[in-house]
Amino acid sequence: MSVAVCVSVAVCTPEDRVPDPPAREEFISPDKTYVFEVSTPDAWKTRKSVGRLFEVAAGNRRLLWTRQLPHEWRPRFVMAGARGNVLLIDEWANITSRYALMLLDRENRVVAQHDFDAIQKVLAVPRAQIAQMGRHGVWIVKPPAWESPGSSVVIEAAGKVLRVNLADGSLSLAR
Amino acid sequence: MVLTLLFLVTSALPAVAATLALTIQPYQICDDDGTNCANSAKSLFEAEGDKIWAQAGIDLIFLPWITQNSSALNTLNMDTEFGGPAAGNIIRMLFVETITHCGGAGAGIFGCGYVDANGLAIADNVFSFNGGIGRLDTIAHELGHNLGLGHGDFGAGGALNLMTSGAVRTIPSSINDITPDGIGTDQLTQAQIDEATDSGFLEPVQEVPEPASALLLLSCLVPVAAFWRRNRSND
Repeated sequence: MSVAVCVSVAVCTPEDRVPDPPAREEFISPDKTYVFEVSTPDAWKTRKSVGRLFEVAAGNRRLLWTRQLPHEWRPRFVMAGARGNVLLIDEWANITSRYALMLLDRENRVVAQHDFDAIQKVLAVPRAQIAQMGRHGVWIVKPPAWESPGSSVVIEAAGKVLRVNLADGSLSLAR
Repeated sequence: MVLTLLFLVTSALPAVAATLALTIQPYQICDDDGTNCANSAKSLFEAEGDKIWAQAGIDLIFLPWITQNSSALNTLNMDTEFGGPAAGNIIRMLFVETITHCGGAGAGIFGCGYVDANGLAIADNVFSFNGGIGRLDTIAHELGHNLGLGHGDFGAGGALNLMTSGAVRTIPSSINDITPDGIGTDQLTQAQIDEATDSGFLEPVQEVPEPASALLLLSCLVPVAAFWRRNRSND
Protein backbone atom coordinates (compact mmCIF):
# COMPACT_ATOMS: atom_id res chain seq x y z
CA MET A 1 0.00 0.00 0.00
CA SER A 2 1.43 3.34 -0.97
CA VAL A 3 1.56 6.24 1.45
CA ALA A 4 -0.13 9.50 0.55
CA VAL A 5 2.09 12.56 0.31
CA CYS A 6 1.55 14.76 3.35
CA VAL A 7 3.43 17.49 5.14
CA SER A 8 3.29 16.93 8.88
CA VAL A 9 5.66 16.46 11.76
CA ALA A 10 3.97 13.47 13.36
CA VAL A 11 0.92 12.09 11.62
CA CYS A 12 -0.69 13.25 8.45
CA THR A 13 -3.93 15.16 9.06
CA PRO A 14 -5.12 17.01 5.96
CA GLU A 15 -8.10 19.21 6.62
CA ASP A 16 -11.27 20.02 4.69
CA ARG A 17 -11.18 23.80 4.62
CA VAL A 18 -12.07 26.64 2.25
CA PRO A 19 -9.66 29.61 2.30
CA ASP A 20 -11.41 32.78 3.42
CA PRO A 21 -11.94 35.62 0.93
CA PRO A 22 -10.30 39.01 1.50
CA ALA A 23 -11.76 40.72 4.57
CA ARG A 24 -12.80 43.72 2.46
CA GLU A 25 -12.96 44.39 -1.26
CA GLU A 26 -14.30 47.21 -3.42
CA PHE A 27 -15.87 47.05 -6.85
CA ILE A 28 -16.07 50.27 -8.85
CA SER A 29 -18.49 51.03 -11.69
CA PRO A 30 -16.91 51.76 -15.11
CA ASP A 31 -17.74 55.47 -14.87
CA LYS A 32 -16.48 55.51 -11.26
CA THR A 33 -19.73 56.96 -9.90
CA TYR A 34 -20.58 53.95 -7.73
CA VAL A 35 -18.52 51.79 -5.38
CA PHE A 36 -19.79 48.53 -3.94
CA GLU A 37 -17.92 47.28 -0.89
CA VAL A 38 -18.10 43.70 0.41
CA SER A 39 -16.68 43.00 3.85
CA THR A 40 -16.91 40.60 6.75
CA PRO A 41 -18.15 41.91 10.10
CA ASP A 42 -16.57 39.06 12.09
CA ALA A 43 -13.45 37.84 10.28
CA TRP A 44 -15.64 35.29 8.41
CA LYS A 45 -16.61 33.51 11.62
CA THR A 46 -20.24 33.36 10.43
CA ARG A 47 -19.31 33.01 6.74
CA LYS A 48 -21.57 35.98 5.98
CA SER A 49 -20.73 39.33 4.43
CA VAL A 50 -22.14 42.83 4.32
CA GLY A 51 -22.57 44.85 1.12
CA ARG A 52 -22.48 48.65 1.02
CA LEU A 53 -23.24 50.80 -2.00
CA PHE A 54 -21.64 54.24 -2.20
CA GLU A 55 -22.24 57.06 -4.65
CA VAL A 56 -19.17 59.07 -5.54
CA ALA A 57 -19.46 62.79 -6.32
CA ALA A 58 -16.69 65.37 -6.31
CA GLY A 59 -14.38 62.84 -4.77
CA ASN A 60 -16.69 62.22 -1.79
CA ARG A 61 -18.46 58.98 -0.99
CA ARG A 62 -22.07 58.95 0.15
CA LEU A 63 -23.48 55.71 1.58
CA LEU A 64 -26.69 54.74 -0.23
CA TRP A 65 -27.47 51.49 1.52
CA THR A 66 -26.18 48.52 3.52
CA ARG A 67 -27.40 44.94 3.56
CA GLN A 68 -26.26 41.53 4.72
CA LEU A 69 -25.67 39.30 1.72
CA PRO A 70 -27.18 35.80 1.68
CA HIS A 71 -24.16 34.16 0.06
CA GLU A 72 -21.88 31.60 1.71
CA TRP A 73 -18.94 33.85 2.63
CA ARG A 74 -19.68 36.34 -0.19
CA PRO A 75 -20.32 36.56 -3.93
CA ARG A 76 -17.50 35.19 -6.07
CA PHE A 77 -17.58 38.17 -8.47
CA VAL A 78 -19.28 41.57 -8.36
CA MET A 79 -19.98 44.02 -11.19
CA ALA A 80 -21.16 47.53 -10.24
CA GLY A 81 -23.19 49.17 -13.01
CA ALA A 82 -23.54 52.70 -14.28
CA ARG A 83 -26.92 53.38 -12.63
CA GLY A 84 -26.04 51.96 -9.24
CA ASN A 85 -27.17 48.47 -10.13
CA VAL A 86 -24.99 45.75 -8.61
CA LEU A 87 -24.67 42.26 -10.05
CA LEU A 88 -23.59 39.61 -7.55
CA ILE A 89 -22.24 36.55 -9.33
CA ASP A 90 -22.05 33.04 -7.84
CA GLU A 91 -20.86 32.27 -4.29
CA TRP A 92 -17.41 31.91 -2.76
CA ALA A 93 -18.32 28.32 -1.84
CA ASN A 94 -18.17 25.83 -4.71
CA ILE A 95 -21.84 24.89 -4.79
CA THR A 96 -24.76 24.91 -7.19
CA SER A 97 -25.89 28.21 -5.79
CA ARG A 98 -29.35 29.60 -5.17
CA TYR A 99 -27.66 32.95 -5.76
CA ALA A 100 -25.88 32.16 -9.02
CA LEU A 101 -26.88 35.65 -10.17
CA MET A 102 -28.45 38.37 -8.02
CA LEU A 103 -29.14 41.89 -9.21
CA LEU A 104 -29.68 44.73 -6.70
CA ASP A 105 -30.62 48.26 -7.66
CA ARG A 106 -29.64 51.69 -6.40
CA GLU A 107 -32.54 51.59 -3.92
CA ASN A 108 -31.45 48.26 -2.39
CA ARG A 109 -34.19 46.25 -4.09
CA VAL A 110 -33.65 42.76 -5.50
CA VAL A 111 -34.36 43.23 -9.20
CA ALA A 112 -33.66 39.63 -10.23
CA GLN A 113 -32.33 36.42 -8.77
CA HIS A 114 -31.34 33.30 -10.72
CA ASP A 115 -30.24 29.97 -9.29
CA PHE A 116 -27.97 27.42 -10.95
CA ASP A 117 -30.94 25.68 -12.56
CA ALA A 118 -31.97 28.93 -14.27
CA ILE A 119 -28.44 29.30 -15.64
CA GLN A 120 -28.57 25.74 -16.95
CA LYS A 121 -31.91 26.40 -18.60
CA VAL A 122 -30.47 29.31 -20.60
CA LEU A 123 -27.25 27.48 -21.44
CA ALA A 124 -29.33 24.44 -22.47
CA VAL A 125 -26.61 21.88 -21.75
CA PRO A 126 -26.53 19.03 -19.21
CA ARG A 127 -25.61 19.90 -15.62
CA ALA A 128 -22.59 17.59 -15.73
CA GLN A 129 -21.21 19.37 -18.80
CA ILE A 130 -21.45 22.75 -17.08
CA ALA A 131 -19.63 21.44 -14.01
CA GLN A 132 -16.93 19.68 -16.02
CA MET A 133 -16.03 22.94 -17.77
CA GLY A 134 -16.34 25.24 -14.74
CA ARG A 135 -13.07 26.79 -13.58
CA HIS A 136 -14.29 29.43 -11.12
CA GLY A 137 -16.77 27.57 -8.95
CA VAL A 138 -19.25 25.20 -10.52
CA TRP A 139 -20.20 26.95 -13.74
CA ILE A 140 -18.01 29.95 -14.62
CA VAL A 141 -15.20 29.34 -17.10
CA LYS A 142 -13.79 32.89 -17.23
CA PRO A 143 -14.37 35.86 -14.91
CA PRO A 144 -17.23 38.13 -16.04
CA ALA A 145 -16.57 41.07 -18.35
CA TRP A 146 -18.48 44.13 -19.54
CA GLU A 147 -20.15 43.69 -22.91
CA SER A 148 -21.52 47.21 -22.76
CA PRO A 149 -19.72 49.02 -19.91
CA GLY A 150 -22.08 49.59 -17.03
CA SER A 151 -25.14 48.03 -18.63
CA SER A 152 -24.58 44.41 -19.68
CA VAL A 153 -22.22 41.68 -18.50
CA VAL A 154 -21.05 38.55 -20.29
CA ILE A 155 -19.97 35.36 -18.55
CA GLU A 156 -18.42 32.35 -20.28
CA ALA A 157 -19.87 29.01 -19.22
CA ALA A 158 -20.07 25.54 -20.77
CA GLY A 159 -18.63 26.72 -24.08
CA LYS A 160 -21.22 29.47 -24.39
CA VAL A 161 -21.43 33.11 -23.37
CA LEU A 162 -24.21 34.20 -21.07
CA ARG A 163 -25.40 37.82 -21.21
CA VAL A 164 -26.90 39.56 -18.17
CA ASN A 165 -28.82 42.78 -18.73
CA LEU A 166 -28.23 45.05 -15.73
CA ALA A 167 -31.45 46.99 -16.32
CA ASP A 168 -33.74 44.08 -15.49
CA GLY A 169 -31.51 41.05 -14.78
CA SER A 170 -32.73 39.17 -17.84
CA LEU A 171 -30.52 36.40 -19.23
CA SER A 172 -29.75 35.55 -22.85
CA LEU A 173 -27.05 33.89 -24.87
CA ALA A 174 -24.52 36.26 -26.42
CA ARG A 175 -23.07 33.38 -28.43
CA MET B 1 -30.51 -35.19 -15.13
CA VAL B 2 -31.65 -33.73 -11.83
CA LEU B 3 -28.20 -32.32 -11.11
CA THR B 4 -28.05 -30.78 -14.56
CA LEU B 5 -31.42 -29.13 -14.03
CA LEU B 6 -30.35 -27.85 -10.61
CA PHE B 7 -27.16 -26.42 -12.11
CA LEU B 8 -29.07 -24.67 -14.87
CA VAL B 9 -31.53 -23.19 -12.39
CA THR B 10 -28.97 -21.95 -9.89
CA SER B 11 -26.52 -20.62 -12.47
CA ALA B 12 -29.28 -18.47 -13.93
CA LEU B 13 -29.78 -16.64 -10.63
CA PRO B 14 -28.24 -13.20 -10.25
CA ALA B 15 -24.83 -13.35 -8.55
CA VAL B 16 -24.75 -12.22 -4.94
CA ALA B 17 -22.39 -9.26 -5.03
CA ALA B 18 -19.58 -9.29 -2.52
CA THR B 19 -19.13 -5.84 -0.98
CA LEU B 20 -16.79 -4.28 1.55
CA ALA B 21 -17.94 -2.78 4.81
CA LEU B 22 -16.41 0.08 6.75
CA THR B 23 -17.61 0.18 10.34
CA ILE B 24 -17.68 3.55 12.06
CA GLN B 25 -18.24 4.52 15.68
CA PRO B 26 -19.68 8.04 15.91
CA TYR B 27 -19.03 10.04 19.09
CA GLN B 28 -21.07 13.12 19.96
CA ILE B 29 -18.80 15.37 22.00
CA CYS B 30 -20.30 17.75 24.57
CA ASP B 31 -18.77 20.17 27.06
CA ASP B 32 -17.72 18.87 30.47
CA ASP B 33 -21.13 19.76 31.94
CA GLY B 34 -23.03 17.98 29.16
CA THR B 35 -24.03 21.14 27.31
CA ASN B 36 -23.07 22.42 23.83
CA CYS B 37 -23.24 18.98 22.30
CA ALA B 38 -21.92 18.89 18.77
CA ASN B 39 -24.09 17.69 15.88
CA SER B 40 -27.29 18.07 17.89
CA ALA B 41 -29.33 16.49 15.07
CA LYS B 42 -26.94 13.52 14.99
CA SER B 43 -26.74 13.79 11.25
CA LEU B 44 -24.39 11.41 9.45
CA PHE B 45 -25.20 12.11 5.79
CA GLU B 46 -25.26 8.34 5.50
CA ALA B 47 -27.22 8.16 2.24
CA GLU B 48 -24.78 10.58 0.61
CA GLY B 49 -21.76 8.70 2.00
CA ASP B 50 -23.11 5.35 0.86
CA LYS B 51 -23.76 6.70 -2.63
CA ILE B 52 -20.24 8.10 -2.86
CA TRP B 53 -18.49 5.00 -1.55
CA ALA B 54 -20.68 2.65 -3.61
CA GLN B 55 -18.28 3.55 -6.42
CA ALA B 56 -15.74 1.38 -4.60
CA GLY B 57 -18.24 -1.24 -3.45
CA ILE B 58 -17.91 0.01 0.12
CA ASP B 59 -20.86 0.17 2.50
CA LEU B 60 -20.65 2.52 5.50
CA ILE B 61 -21.96 0.95 8.69
CA PHE B 62 -22.51 3.32 11.61
CA LEU B 63 -22.68 1.89 15.13
CA PRO B 64 -25.06 3.42 17.71
CA TRP B 65 -23.99 6.84 18.99
CA ILE B 66 -21.77 7.32 22.03
CA THR B 67 -21.94 10.66 23.84
CA GLN B 68 -18.80 11.85 25.58
CA ASN B 69 -18.42 14.97 27.74
CA SER B 70 -15.13 16.75 27.15
CA SER B 71 -14.77 20.49 26.68
CA ALA B 72 -11.21 19.97 25.50
CA LEU B 73 -12.30 17.67 22.68
CA ASN B 74 -15.21 19.94 21.77
CA THR B 75 -12.75 22.61 20.56
CA LEU B 76 -10.46 20.03 19.10
CA ASN B 77 -6.76 20.35 18.44
CA MET B 78 -6.52 17.31 16.19
CA ASP B 79 -2.74 17.36 16.35
CA THR B 80 -2.49 16.93 20.11
CA GLU B 81 -5.87 16.20 21.71
CA PHE B 82 -7.35 13.46 19.53
CA GLY B 83 -4.77 11.05 20.92
CA GLY B 84 -3.31 9.98 17.61
CA PRO B 85 -4.63 7.28 15.32
CA ALA B 86 -6.92 4.86 17.11
CA ALA B 87 -6.40 1.09 17.31
CA GLY B 88 -8.67 -1.50 15.73
CA ASN B 89 -10.73 -1.68 12.59
CA ILE B 90 -13.71 0.39 13.75
CA ILE B 91 -13.22 3.97 12.63
CA ARG B 92 -13.32 6.51 15.48
CA MET B 93 -15.37 9.50 14.27
CA LEU B 94 -15.66 12.49 16.60
CA PHE B 95 -18.29 15.18 16.11
CA VAL B 96 -17.06 18.36 17.78
CA GLU B 97 -18.07 22.01 17.96
CA THR B 98 -14.90 23.32 16.31
CA ILE B 99 -11.55 22.05 15.09
CA THR B 100 -8.78 24.50 15.93
CA HIS B 101 -5.77 22.60 14.61
CA CYS B 102 -5.40 20.09 11.81
CA GLY B 103 -1.84 19.72 10.60
CA GLY B 104 -1.55 23.36 11.70
CA ALA B 105 -3.66 26.08 13.27
CA GLY B 106 -6.58 27.57 11.44
CA ALA B 107 -10.18 28.71 11.54
CA GLY B 108 -13.02 27.38 9.46
CA ILE B 109 -11.88 23.77 9.37
CA PHE B 110 -14.79 21.47 8.46
CA GLY B 111 -13.13 18.10 8.99
CA CYS B 112 -9.83 16.45 9.67
CA GLY B 113 -8.72 12.85 9.24
CA TYR B 114 -5.58 10.77 9.53
CA VAL B 115 -4.28 9.39 6.25
CA ASP B 116 -4.09 5.60 6.10
CA ALA B 117 -4.83 5.50 9.84
CA ASN B 118 -7.84 5.35 12.11
CA GLY B 119 -9.58 8.53 13.26
CA LEU B 120 -11.31 11.63 12.05
CA ALA B 121 -13.21 14.62 13.36
CA ILE B 122 -16.11 16.59 11.95
CA ALA B 123 -16.88 20.17 13.08
CA ASP B 124 -20.34 21.68 13.50
CA ASN B 125 -19.82 24.14 10.64
CA VAL B 126 -20.36 21.16 8.31
CA PHE B 127 -24.06 21.29 9.19
CA SER B 128 -24.58 25.05 8.80
CA PHE B 129 -22.84 25.11 5.41
CA ASN B 130 -24.77 26.08 2.26
CA GLY B 131 -27.62 27.73 4.11
CA GLY B 132 -28.10 24.73 6.40
CA ILE B 133 -28.12 22.08 3.68
CA GLY B 134 -24.76 20.97 4.98
CA ARG B 135 -21.41 20.09 3.52
CA LEU B 136 -22.74 16.76 2.36
CA ASP B 137 -19.45 15.07 1.43
CA THR B 138 -17.06 16.02 4.24
CA ILE B 139 -17.67 12.79 6.19
CA ALA B 140 -17.06 10.70 3.06
CA HIS B 141 -13.98 12.84 2.29
CA GLU B 142 -12.42 12.31 5.72
CA LEU B 143 -13.14 8.58 5.55
CA GLY B 144 -11.22 8.63 2.28
CA HIS B 145 -8.19 9.90 4.19
CA ASN B 146 -8.52 7.03 6.67
CA LEU B 147 -8.59 4.65 3.70
CA GLY B 148 -5.26 5.99 2.46
CA LEU B 149 -6.22 8.77 0.06
CA GLY B 150 -4.72 12.27 0.06
CA HIS B 151 -5.71 15.55 -1.57
CA GLY B 152 -3.42 15.26 -4.55
CA ASP B 153 -2.62 11.60 -5.12
CA PHE B 154 -4.23 8.73 -7.04
CA GLY B 155 -5.78 11.18 -9.48
CA ALA B 156 -7.33 13.66 -7.04
CA GLY B 157 -7.18 17.37 -7.80
CA GLY B 158 -10.17 18.05 -10.01
CA ALA B 159 -13.21 19.91 -8.69
CA LEU B 160 -15.44 16.87 -9.09
CA ASN B 161 -13.19 14.41 -7.21
CA LEU B 162 -14.10 13.41 -3.65
CA MET B 163 -10.58 13.76 -2.31
CA THR B 164 -9.68 17.15 -3.76
CA SER B 165 -8.99 19.82 -1.14
CA GLY B 166 -11.86 21.96 0.10
CA ALA B 167 -10.54 25.04 -1.69
CA VAL B 168 -11.22 23.49 -5.08
CA ARG B 169 -13.76 20.69 -4.59
CA THR B 170 -17.35 21.23 -5.71
CA ILE B 171 -19.76 20.38 -2.90
CA PRO B 172 -23.11 18.79 -3.79
CA SER B 173 -26.23 20.67 -2.73
CA SER B 174 -28.23 17.44 -2.78
CA ILE B 175 -27.72 13.70 -3.17
CA ASN B 176 -28.99 14.12 -6.74
CA ASP B 177 -25.77 15.92 -7.73
CA ILE B 178 -23.48 13.12 -6.48
CA THR B 179 -21.96 10.95 -9.22
CA PRO B 180 -23.25 9.30 -11.37
CA ASP B 181 -26.13 11.80 -11.29
CA GLY B 182 -26.53 15.55 -11.77
CA ILE B 183 -23.33 17.57 -11.92
CA GLY B 184 -21.39 14.46 -10.89
CA THR B 185 -19.58 15.48 -7.71
CA ASP B 186 -17.42 13.26 -5.51
CA GLN B 187 -16.02 10.98 -8.18
CA LEU B 188 -13.32 8.42 -7.43
CA THR B 189 -10.63 7.38 -9.90
CA GLN B 190 -9.84 3.70 -10.42
CA ALA B 191 -6.48 4.30 -8.68
CA GLN B 192 -8.30 5.74 -5.66
CA ILE B 193 -10.70 2.79 -5.62
CA ASP B 194 -7.79 0.34 -5.81
CA GLU B 195 -5.99 2.10 -2.96
CA ALA B 196 -9.06 2.47 -0.74
CA THR B 197 -10.26 -1.09 -1.19
CA ASP B 198 -6.79 -2.31 -0.17
CA SER B 199 -7.27 -0.80 3.29
CA GLY B 200 -7.11 -3.06 6.32
CA PHE B 201 -10.10 -1.23 7.80
CA LEU B 202 -12.45 -2.90 5.36
CA GLU B 203 -14.09 -6.24 5.84
CA PRO B 204 -15.75 -8.30 3.14
CA VAL B 205 -19.44 -8.80 3.67
CA GLN B 206 -21.72 -11.32 2.04
CA GLU B 207 -24.98 -9.71 1.08
CA VAL B 208 -28.06 -11.42 2.39
CA PRO B 209 -30.20 -12.43 -0.60
CA GLU B 210 -33.17 -10.15 -0.99
CA PRO B 211 -36.64 -11.67 -0.46
CA ALA B 212 -37.34 -11.48 -4.17
CA SER B 213 -34.19 -13.46 -4.95
CA ALA B 214 -35.04 -16.05 -2.29
CA LEU B 215 -38.55 -16.45 -3.70
CA LEU B 216 -37.11 -16.84 -7.19
CA LEU B 217 -34.77 -19.55 -5.94
CA LEU B 218 -37.65 -21.30 -4.14
CA SER B 219 -39.90 -21.12 -7.18
CA CYS B 220 -37.18 -22.80 -9.22
CA LEU B 221 -36.28 -25.45 -6.68
CA VAL B 222 -39.85 -26.63 -6.03
CA PRO B 223 -40.40 -27.92 -9.59
CA VAL B 224 -36.94 -29.50 -9.52
CA ALA B 225 -37.77 -31.28 -6.30
CA ALA B 226 -41.13 -32.39 -7.71
CA PHE B 227 -39.41 -33.63 -10.86
CA TRP B 228 -36.85 -35.49 -8.76
CA ARG B 229 -39.57 -37.09 -6.59
CA ARG B 230 -41.59 -38.15 -9.60
CA ASN B 231 -38.53 -39.70 -11.23
CA ARG B 232 -37.68 -41.43 -7.98
CA SER B 233 -41.18 -42.87 -7.58
CA ASN B 234 -41.01 -44.07 -11.17
CA ASP B 235 -37.80 -46.02 -10.47
